[in-house]
Amino acid sequence: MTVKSPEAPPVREHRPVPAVQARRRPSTRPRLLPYGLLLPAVVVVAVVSVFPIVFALNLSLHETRFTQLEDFVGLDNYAAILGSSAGWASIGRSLIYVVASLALAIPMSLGIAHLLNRPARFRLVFRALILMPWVISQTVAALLWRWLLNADYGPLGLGDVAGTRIDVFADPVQAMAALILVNVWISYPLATILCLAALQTIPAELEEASDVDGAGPFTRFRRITLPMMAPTLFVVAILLTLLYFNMVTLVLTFTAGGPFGATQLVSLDAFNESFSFFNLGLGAAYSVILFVFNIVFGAAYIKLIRSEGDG
Amino acid sequence: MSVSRRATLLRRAAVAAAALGLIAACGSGGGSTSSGDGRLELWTFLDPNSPDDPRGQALRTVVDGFNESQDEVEVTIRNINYAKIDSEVVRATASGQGPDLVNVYSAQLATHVDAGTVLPLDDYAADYLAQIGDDLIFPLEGVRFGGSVMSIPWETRAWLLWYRKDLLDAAGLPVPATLDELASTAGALAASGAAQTGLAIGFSDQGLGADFVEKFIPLTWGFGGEILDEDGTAAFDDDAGVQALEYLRRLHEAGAFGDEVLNMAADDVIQSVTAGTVAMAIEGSYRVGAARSGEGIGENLQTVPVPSRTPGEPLPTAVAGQTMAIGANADDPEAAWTFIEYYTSEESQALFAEAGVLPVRASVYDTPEFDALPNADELRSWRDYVVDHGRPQPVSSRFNELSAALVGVGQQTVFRDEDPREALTGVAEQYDSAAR
Repeated sequence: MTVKSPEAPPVREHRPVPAVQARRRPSTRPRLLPYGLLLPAVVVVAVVSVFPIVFALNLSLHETRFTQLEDFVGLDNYAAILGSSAGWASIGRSLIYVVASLALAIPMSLGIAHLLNRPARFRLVFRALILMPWVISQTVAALLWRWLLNADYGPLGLGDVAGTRIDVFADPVQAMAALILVNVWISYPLATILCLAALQTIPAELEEASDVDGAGPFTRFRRITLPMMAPTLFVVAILLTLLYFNMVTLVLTFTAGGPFGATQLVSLDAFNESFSFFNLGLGAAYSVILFVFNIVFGAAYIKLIRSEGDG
Repeated sequence: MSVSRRATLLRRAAVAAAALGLIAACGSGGGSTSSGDGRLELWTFLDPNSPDDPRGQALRTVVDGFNESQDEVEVTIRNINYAKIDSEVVRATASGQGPDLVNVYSAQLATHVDAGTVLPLDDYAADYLAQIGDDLIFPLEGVRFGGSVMSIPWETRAWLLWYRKDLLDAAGLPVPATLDELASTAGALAASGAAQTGLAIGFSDQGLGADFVEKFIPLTWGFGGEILDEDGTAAFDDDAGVQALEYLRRLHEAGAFGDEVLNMAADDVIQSVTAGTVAMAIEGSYRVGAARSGEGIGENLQTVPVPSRTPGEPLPTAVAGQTMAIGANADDPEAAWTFIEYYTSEESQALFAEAGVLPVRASVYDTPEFDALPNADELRSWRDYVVDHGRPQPVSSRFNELSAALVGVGQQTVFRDEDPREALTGVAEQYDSAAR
């Protein structure tokens, strides 16, 4: 028996790389393709979202003359707002306006969504009616309520309520209250629809099981409905907060900031400084302050959502 | 993904990017809103299609007449709400998209001049102005800036005492002849129940407090003061300004008006006069025609010059009005000037007079067409008030800011007993500091 020495492993033949492959390998085209495809979207987002924010930030750091950018003034425009009692008063009123509106709009929307979720005749008609304020423009809504609440000729008859004249627009507290109510009136449909959609995702079995366990309506709402709707409610809160902080048209048309400056909000200051007085730098500073409030509130809601999720 | 598929995608992406760039380039292109083909765009607050405003219909007639007279130039009208038109023009002009022709209210002209939205008319208007000379009753100082005429007035107005004759007659009260009588008559009208409000002055923040300021200015003049000094600094915080506010406070205390005026701007005041809930008001001559057209109003609405402290001597009236200017982005300023000449001609002025507008050219008042107007005598009396007691309305590029601040002072001093001098001084310091 002869022992053969083991064969050496076959040596792989090194064939010359075809010319086409040699050219393709160093090409960056495949690696860049995804970026190229993303580019239009990035450009659109940059133009639509990032550029205006950067532009406003830049404006707020400059003196302006109508639409022309002049000297860099650093934080002077912010100091003019945050260093004055009028600026802080506007911020305070904006917070009252937003928090009070949220405190009314969200529970109200939740309640109405509950009612609309129950089997009832003409449910679709009610749903359509509930949506109506949402499709009315802010200008029309403001003019409509100005007419309704007018003490002289308004159909609500506020000129003589048990012998007392209620002039909503002449009293600072009543004017702010009316503004908040009208704001809630035009914004609750959006919240209601979102709440209704969330309610409809709650499995009926859960509610039936809670019935069997003897849970009452309040316990069922607290233990089942509310926890399952929490993410939606936070989204609603974020949407409404953004809407309320940035509201200009309604305030401008309804009270224009009066009487006695009682409804002068930061959003109205931003509008007036920018477009009525042409102080674009100062107006931009007001806008950036609003932006910061929106970010802070949004971040707080998101943190709450996450803590709910962790819990 | 195949090579050919990738190549197709890349090509499409490149085309999309190119298209995006093209759109961006189109958006940032220079030039006015006119296309350079002989079309001139006129931006105005007047609505040529409004069934309620005869001035809009007159505008349509004038523009149509001009277009028919031209072979190569055509004017098109863009109607913009009066509260927005100035800011729209400023923004559009800054981006090179401003109008060829723009209607500017004289009180806002300083803002437009400062913003560079209108062209000086020296090169075009010198002959025209020399030709019409004294025929222009609108004081040219109101449209002259840095020695240059910046727009041509086509309408003038005075602020008059409006009163509901039927309500005064029912209460057995005469038309007030002095400021003291105005307070007592207005108080008596409200107390008698003839009207809810004896004399309405709009203290609302709406319209940046314009209705209030239109009264504060002549009252301050009437008490011997000024709104702005010749160098443009605030002058309203002197004794005269304080007296004007104290007079308004006295009206409130006399019951001439109550808290309801805090919710009133000019439009609300006029609606209330036509509704009969307000017996008297101080409003512009240019609104009388529209107010009278309301149901049941007609000749029940009468006007007289606003009384002063002295019997028989009216309070000075601010003279302001609508003017026509050439936009800074105009492609063809000469064609735009041709339109302005047509727009301010005697014939066009006569058409606007029919719509209740007070003409700016004296000769129009003597034409047979003017004589044929049903209220020709009344219009002539307004002209006399303008000529004899008119003063150009104070102008400042920060007038909006000042107006908004002054109505705040009015609210605080008249309804909350704040010290008028302290409040006025605060606003004056703020105004001067911002102007610096």
